[in-house]
Amino acid sequence: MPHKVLVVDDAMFMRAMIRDILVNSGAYEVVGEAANGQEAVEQYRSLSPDLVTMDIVMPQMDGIEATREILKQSPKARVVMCSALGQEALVIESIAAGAKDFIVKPFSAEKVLKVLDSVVAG
Amino acid sequence: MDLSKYLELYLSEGREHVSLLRRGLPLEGPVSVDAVTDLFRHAHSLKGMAASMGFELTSRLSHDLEALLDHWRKGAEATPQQRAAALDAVDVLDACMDAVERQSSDGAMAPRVEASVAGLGAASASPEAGLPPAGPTGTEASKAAATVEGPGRPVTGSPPPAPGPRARIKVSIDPSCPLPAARFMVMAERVKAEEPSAVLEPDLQHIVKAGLRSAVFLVPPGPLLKDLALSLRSLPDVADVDLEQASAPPLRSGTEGTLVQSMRVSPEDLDALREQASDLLYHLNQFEAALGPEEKRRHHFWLESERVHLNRLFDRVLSMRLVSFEVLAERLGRTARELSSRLGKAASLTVSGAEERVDRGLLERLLDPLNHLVRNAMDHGLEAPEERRREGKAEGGRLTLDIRRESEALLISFADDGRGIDVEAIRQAAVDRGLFAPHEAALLDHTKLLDLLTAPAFSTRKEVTDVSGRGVGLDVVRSAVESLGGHLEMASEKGRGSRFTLVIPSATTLTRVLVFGWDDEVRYGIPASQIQHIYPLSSAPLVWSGTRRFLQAGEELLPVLEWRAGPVGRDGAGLRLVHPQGDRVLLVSRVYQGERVVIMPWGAPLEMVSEWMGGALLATGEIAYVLDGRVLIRREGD
Repeated sequence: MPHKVLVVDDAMFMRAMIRDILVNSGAYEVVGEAANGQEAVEQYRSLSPDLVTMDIVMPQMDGIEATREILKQSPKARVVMCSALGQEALVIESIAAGAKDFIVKPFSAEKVLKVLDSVVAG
Repeated sequence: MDLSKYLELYLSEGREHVSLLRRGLPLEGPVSVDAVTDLFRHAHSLKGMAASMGFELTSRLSHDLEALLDHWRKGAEATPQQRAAALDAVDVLDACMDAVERQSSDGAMAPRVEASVAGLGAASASPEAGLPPAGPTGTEASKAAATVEGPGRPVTGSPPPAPGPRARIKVSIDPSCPLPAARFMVMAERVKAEEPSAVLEPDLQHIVKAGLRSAVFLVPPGPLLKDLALSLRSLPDVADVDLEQASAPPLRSGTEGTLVQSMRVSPEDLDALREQASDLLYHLNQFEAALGPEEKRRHHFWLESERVHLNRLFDRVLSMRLVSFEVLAERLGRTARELSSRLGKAASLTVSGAEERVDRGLLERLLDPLNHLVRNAMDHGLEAPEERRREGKAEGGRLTLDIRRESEALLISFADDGRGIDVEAIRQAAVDRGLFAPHEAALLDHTKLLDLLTAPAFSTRKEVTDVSGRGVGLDVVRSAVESLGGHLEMASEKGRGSRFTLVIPSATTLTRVLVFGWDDEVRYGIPASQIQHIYPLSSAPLVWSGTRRFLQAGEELLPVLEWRAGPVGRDGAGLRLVHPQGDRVLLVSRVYQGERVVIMPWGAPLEMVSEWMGGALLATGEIAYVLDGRVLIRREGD
């Protein structure tokens, strides 16, 4: 059965891209999308996905804050951060906050899937 | 033997010893043996170095200072007289360094060295001290020196590896991985989940700092080791995993690294390196601009990662040129002390924020204007002790230097608690001088009057200096600051003191800007640090309330900054600019990208009158006009 993923990004473009990569692989299905951290926390609660892809810089509640919030409520949550180049400090902060891994924009399908596969396996 | 080639090294290392001596000298309170042992070592090293260079005066004074420190080290009480004499000796040693730098000899220092040596002798011979006259410290000294100068202690932040044999798993990261340190961190979390006692060497901080792409996990040997190595190999971005089983003596990577903890590099070499790094960045931009859209898309990843590496290189070189303010603060303290004794005005300089690091070149250019301000304050700003007493102030004047960074600027603020500036006297002088008619002068406000002091024609007049108690050379300070692209802010209250703030834009470093567009073809930018959020207008509507527009961001209504009222469509965005007086939203037609750029200030006078910080060369080869959001908001009401 495909893994259920919640895709969080304030840009619809990015969400669509990730969705395509995930769905085309056949191994994942996107069960929900959120455009900011607040929505992500709410959606996580109602959907309990296997995996979250989380953008870092978002309005209202950023991805790091949302990750903390999600992990507070579900310590086993698997969150993978979506970062842009040059955001190493933020990524490191996210991992310290409990994120499992990260992917870097621009996304390549192969790389994204490798990271997500290793997170669901680990 | 030709000693001149060692001169530079002597100076840089010698100054370091002098500076550590100054910092460590206990001015009051009990004397810690450890601290004095360090000081002793510095005096001792300096003595040896100076002797090797043939600077006998320096060597002699170091020797006598060393003898006094040796005495303290053995538990003798440090009398106030001795402390003063030691401090004086350090000042003179510092001056000896200056003399060597200027004339390659300390010969001219003879009178001051004699006086200082005599001071040390007198302090030591005083009945309360009972110190034997300064003489050769002999074997005692060399023994002590040997113990403290022995093999360098390894200085590492990482915890020592657990005892017992350790296996090493060396992991190398794919060169195309854009965030290697984050990758190591993810890996470390995984390894720790399997083997809690695993240690990453070097530690993460070091990996981040040095941008390393390979590191070693130290783990206890065991049957699971192979599995661990295998699972590491399967992780993203991992290029290579190398397993070394434990051997008898525990291996520690990085042990070799502690032999040489730092190296001296000449400033010129760093300058050249910086120039080359910046050329490389420029070439990459040119190269990218020459590519067609299709090629650009195809090679996007490599171009981007190239840019990341070059930026990192550039950052690293820039950070190697950084020096803390401590050196400068020390120099200013010396100026204050010298003038204090010469003018008979007690004063103390308190420095905060000296740990702030700035480009060496900038620091050098700040020395003169700040020294000038200290002299002014000592000379004119602070009242004589008896006058201060009459005014109900503490006899000793208080000077403060406060250094801090505020978003894109460096703020250096120097204040005294002296008599302050008499602005009415300036007003009168402006009329007397024929610069303003009386009715015009009457309209000048406090700030304008203070500004007059920095006008060259004004401040050099002696009468003004006398009545205002200040002013000599303020034009020099101002122009020095302006040549750095900054400005001088002054505040003063009669009877209470004055404050001068040097506001220096940190434009010499890479700044992250958000690039955006309005309805024209031009690219604009704003420092990313000033932007809190970006709201797409498609999801955050604009609403009118009375005569003002607001952007509705969820529950929040954010006032729109009506600065450039061009049409902004639904593709546009609102940039939320942070400001202490309330955030504002700047509407733009299009947001392009974030980019790290060097902002070049437009020359004066443009930058003084406008909200533009300067221009920046973008990766695309285009120029972006960079706005200062804070100025925009400050001028909102104008």
